[in-house]
Amino acid sequence: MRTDLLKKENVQILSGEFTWQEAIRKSAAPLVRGGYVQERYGDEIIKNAKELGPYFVLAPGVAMPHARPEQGVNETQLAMTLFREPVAFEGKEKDTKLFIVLAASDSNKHLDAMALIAEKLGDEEMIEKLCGADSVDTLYKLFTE
Amino acid sequence: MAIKKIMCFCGSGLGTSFIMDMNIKKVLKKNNITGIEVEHSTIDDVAPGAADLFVCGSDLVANAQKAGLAIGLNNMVSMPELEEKLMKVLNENK
Repeated sequence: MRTDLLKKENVQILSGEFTWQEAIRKSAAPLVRGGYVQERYGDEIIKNAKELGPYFVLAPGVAMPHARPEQGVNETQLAMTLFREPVAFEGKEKDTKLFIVLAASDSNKHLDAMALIAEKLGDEEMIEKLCGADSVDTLYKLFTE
Repeated sequence: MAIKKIMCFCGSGLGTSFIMDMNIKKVLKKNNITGIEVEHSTIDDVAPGAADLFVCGSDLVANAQKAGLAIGLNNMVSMPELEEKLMKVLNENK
């Protein structure tokens, strides 16, 4: 079930200007609240990105921030945040609006989630629709239906 | 030299690299190419001899070029970009 991969309670839309670090902490917050990751998970992602660059920017407009299982993951789950104001990563355009935080508890359990993300984001029109969603309901439906 | 093993990698070896792994397998299948092993891993496993071709995001491609033949993708979920770059390399290395 697609609704097992992404729960509506982990989808949010935020307004305001944020640095990429703030955006990562905010987009990881639903997973912290739900107990899927430890509180340090956002900071672990930031640490990796500082070391290696934003390797999780999948496509123009979309990032899938994640760290390794041992960096604070309790349970496999996704969280999705749409930022109304685009966020800039170092060395990239200020154009990233959709953050899909991945928590993967091992190397294989999230196969279905990755297949869903590849399917949805492989379609550029879908990226536009997701980035322009007017409500959490719309965002959630676009991704899970 | 023919390419027998492709390694996709990203910073964690879990997310981005997993998606590229799946998409490469789709491209190979679509083009009826068999006999190529595809795996995904972390940047720590990128070393000369670890694979015949490395695939990653354009941010990390400089690391991979030190280890061998490499493709850097601007859009890591775009099938057209992957197919174009991958088929070009495969055709040049038969």
